[in-house]
Order: sequence, then structure tokens, then C-alpha cells
Amino acid sequence: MNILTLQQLSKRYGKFQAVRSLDLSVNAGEVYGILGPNGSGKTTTLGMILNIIRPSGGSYQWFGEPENHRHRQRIGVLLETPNFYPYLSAVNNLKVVAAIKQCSTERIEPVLRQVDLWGRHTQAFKTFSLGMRQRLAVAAALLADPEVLVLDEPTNGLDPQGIAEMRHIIQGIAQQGKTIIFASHILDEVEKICSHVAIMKQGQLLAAGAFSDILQSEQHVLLAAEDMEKLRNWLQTQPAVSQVQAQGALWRVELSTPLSAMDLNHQAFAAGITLSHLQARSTSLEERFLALTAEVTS
Amino acid sequence: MNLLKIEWRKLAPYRAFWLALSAYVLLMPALFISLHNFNVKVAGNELNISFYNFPDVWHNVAYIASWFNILLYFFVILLVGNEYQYKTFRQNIIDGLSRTQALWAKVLLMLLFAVGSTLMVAGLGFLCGYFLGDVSAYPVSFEKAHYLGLYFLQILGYMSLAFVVTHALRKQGMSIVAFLMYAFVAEPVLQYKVLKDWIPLPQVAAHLPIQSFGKLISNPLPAYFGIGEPAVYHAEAVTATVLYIVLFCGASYGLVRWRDL
Repeated sequence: MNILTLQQLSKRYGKFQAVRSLDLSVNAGEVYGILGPNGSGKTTTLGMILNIIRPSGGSYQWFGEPENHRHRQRIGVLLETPNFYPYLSAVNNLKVVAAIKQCSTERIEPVLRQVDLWGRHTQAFKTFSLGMRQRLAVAAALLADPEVLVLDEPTNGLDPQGIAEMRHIIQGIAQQGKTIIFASHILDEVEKICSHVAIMKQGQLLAAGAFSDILQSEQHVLLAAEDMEKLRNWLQTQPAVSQVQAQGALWRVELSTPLSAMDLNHQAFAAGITLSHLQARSTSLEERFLALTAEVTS
Repeated sequence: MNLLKIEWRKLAPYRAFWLALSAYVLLMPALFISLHNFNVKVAGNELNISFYNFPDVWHNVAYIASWFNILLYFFVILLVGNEYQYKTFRQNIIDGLSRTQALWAKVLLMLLFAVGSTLMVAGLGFLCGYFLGDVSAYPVSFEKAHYLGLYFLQILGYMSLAFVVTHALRKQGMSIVAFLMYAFVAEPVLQYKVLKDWIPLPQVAAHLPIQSFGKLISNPLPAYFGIGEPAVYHAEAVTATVLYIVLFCGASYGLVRWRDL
């Protein structure tokens, strides 16, 4: 089932093009990461699909239907900064949310317990620390038991413990099979949580699809031997080897099929080459991400 | 109805609002009732003026009540400004209100204030007329009760001005300063004839919002001292006020509908 479709969605602020003709499609059950450096248009995109920023062009559809405020009652949203009435207690703030989402107030206690805020439920929002405010925002997002969650940099500004708690909560939600749309500039965060990813830079979509297709991790091996020329000649005859490059005093070898370090060592020894250096590494996602985003700049 | 439920959940536990509201509800009748002891001596003779005789009591109570309009103006700035300051207006939309609903919720609240305030003034006028006025000489009469309707229009006019100013500026402090500058400096200055050689400003200025709202309920005092009849009900002030209310609410709608939040 289609949850969200963007068609040529654009936003222009004067001369500055914040989002350029974005096409994207999110299906039910996907955990969709929108990845990009700061200022790449992620928050603007989320703002548009939540009707707080007016698109300059294009359209979007929730649940396969044109824009309607009732859709947002079925969506839980967690933004960078939690917005609540400071003079209202945690419970009274959630009562306002419940009235807007037209859901019952019965779930207020369980969601506050889930984010570990029930102990302070009668205290005013203004007395809360940033971590507690962010947890109240999680509670508000979960209140209506939404089918879809939209998260924008939910770990920004939190301390390491807060970040760990927040990730734990999000992973828990993802395991319940809900659709999650998740914007972040932290690759590591997206890698841990998302099944699909869209990469944005300067308002443009660079790539979108299943995580493993877009940011596939590859293996490479660093090798050295006494006779480096002999080693290279031998490597080039091996079917598992796709590329051999110099990296400092070592050969950096890309493998097209997985080959364990032990097997490689065995085969080299059988060919009369004694390896003096052998190190298996996987190409970091960071490198691939940087390579992808660097293409636009140049 | 759900919109009022949402607004109620925001207001019910809001202490600052209830304090301001109770000040309004207590002070306004207190001032009107305290006029009971009002007395003026001219050349040693007490004039024995009573403000509570029917049917003039309707006019008098509406006039005194209009002194407190500025409080209603501040209520609107407080409640609408809060939504911008706390970014909860934005949050309400994200949570599932449409922009139109978010605006309507506040318009309903203003209507509720206007109805409540008018009912309070009506009750106060009747009770004062009945118990403090000279009912034997001036029996209960609703002849000038249309001043209650004018009062309703007047406070709705003030509140819709506050509404559009706060939507445009989005900040409480700025909205208050802008209102005070406009109502007590800009409009009065325009009334003077300093510029009349160039353009007929006073004629235009006479139809500006604050002037039009003010003209709805004229000062009843001069009549008591025999220095001029109370100005009568101005059809053009009513027309102007209704137009301003529509204009201000329409402009607020435009701002909310088309702006990024």
C-alpha cells in the first residue's frame, strides 16, 4: 500500500531553491531514511508534506489521496524542537493533542509510561529538560497509535544517553511494522534503523531506493609481500579480484565475490607468495555517501 | 464543537488567563456600581445625577463597559500571540487541524467572549436599573437596549483588529505596541487638521477603525450637564464596523492560509 507520494515537489525562497522537483514514493512498512547534509532540504520537504510550508510547485499525496488535514491525524510527528504549551502539564498537553487528533485520552497514561515520563505527568512542560521535552514529543507522536511516523533529526541536541534512549524507542516502533519516514544527517543513525534511503543534497534527490542497493557495502583487502610486482601479477589472474590499486606501500584489492582472508592467504602461499601484510576491510558507508554527494558539487 | 473542546483544553488550566478574566468580570461591574455615589456640585447645589434610570441605563452601562475594551484586546493578543510564540499553531496543524480550523477555533473564542461580555453588561444594566434606578419614575424599558447590540459590535471590532495585528506581527510585545501607537497616536494625529491643505485627511480619518468603533457608543455625560445631546446612533459607524470586522477576519484568514508557518 502506498503511504506517501511526492510529485515534482519544489520550494523556492526568493532566488534560493530549497527543494527541486522531488519525486519519492514510500510504501507501507518501509523505514525510509532521508539522508543529507545540513541545509539539503530535508526539513523543508517534511514541512511541506505536513502542510506547514507551502510548496512552490508539485504535489504530494498521503495514503493515495490529495491533501487533507484528517491524514495528519493518522500520522505521528517528531520534529527537532518539541512544541508544547509551557504552562500546561504533560497530561494536559497530551489532552490537547488528543482533541486535535480526535482520539481518546485513554492512551495518555500508557504512552507517558512508555517514554518514562509518568512520574512527572502533572508537572508543567516548562519545568522539563530537553531530553524530557523530546520524550514528551515521542509520547505525543505515539498517542493516536499512528500508522505512520515522521521523524526529523530526533536525536539533535540530546546528550549521548538521550540519543541512545531515542534510538531505542525508534527501533522499538520500527519493529512493530509501522511505516517510518526519518530525516537525518547522521549516516550511522540511518544505517542502524532504515530499510530504504533517499539521499538529498542542495535540494536535489541524488538517489532513492532500498538501502542495500544505494549504499551497498563492499569488501576490500590490503596486501603486501616481499615482491610486490609478483603479488600484483598473481592477483590479476584471480577471478575473485576486480581491481588492484596502490595504497601507500600496499595493494588495495577490491573483491567481486566475498573471499575470506584465510582463503586468500592459502591461495597466495600455494602460488609461492608469502604475504607480509593482510587486512580485510569493508568500504565504509561514509565513504560511499561522501562519494555520492561529492558528485553534485563538482 | 470539537474546535471549542480543543480551545477549552488549552485554556482551562491556564491560570494567567483566568486571573485576567476575573479582573475583567469583577472590575467592570464594580466601576459601574461605584457611580452610585457620583455627585457633582455646581455653585453649591448638588445635581443629584443618577445613571441608573431606564432607559438611559442601557447607554450608560455600555459606555462604561467600553472603557474595558482594551482588556479584551489584550486577551486576543495573549491567546493568539501564545500560539505563535510557543509554535503551537504550527504544531496544531501538524497534529491534524486544517489551517482554516485553527483560525476558526480562535474566531469562535472571540465570538464567545463577545457574547459573554454582552450578556454580562446586559445583566448589569438591568440589575442596576431595577435596584439602583428610580423605577417609579422611570419604569423598566428596553427602549435604548440597542446599545447592547452596538456594544457587541464594538468589542468584536476591537478584537478582530487585535486578531489581524497579532497574526501579522506574530509577537505579543510588538502587537501591543503597534496597537497603542496606532490607537492613541496615529489615529488621533490624523484627526487634526494639520495636513488639510494637501489632502482631506480628517474626513478619511473619521472613518478609521478606532474612530468608527468609538462612535458606536457616544459619551452620555454631556447630556446630563445640559451641554449637548448625546450623539445618536450612527448608521455609518455600524456599517464601517461590520466592514472592518469582515476585513480584519478576512485578512487574518489570508495570512494563515497562504503563509509558511
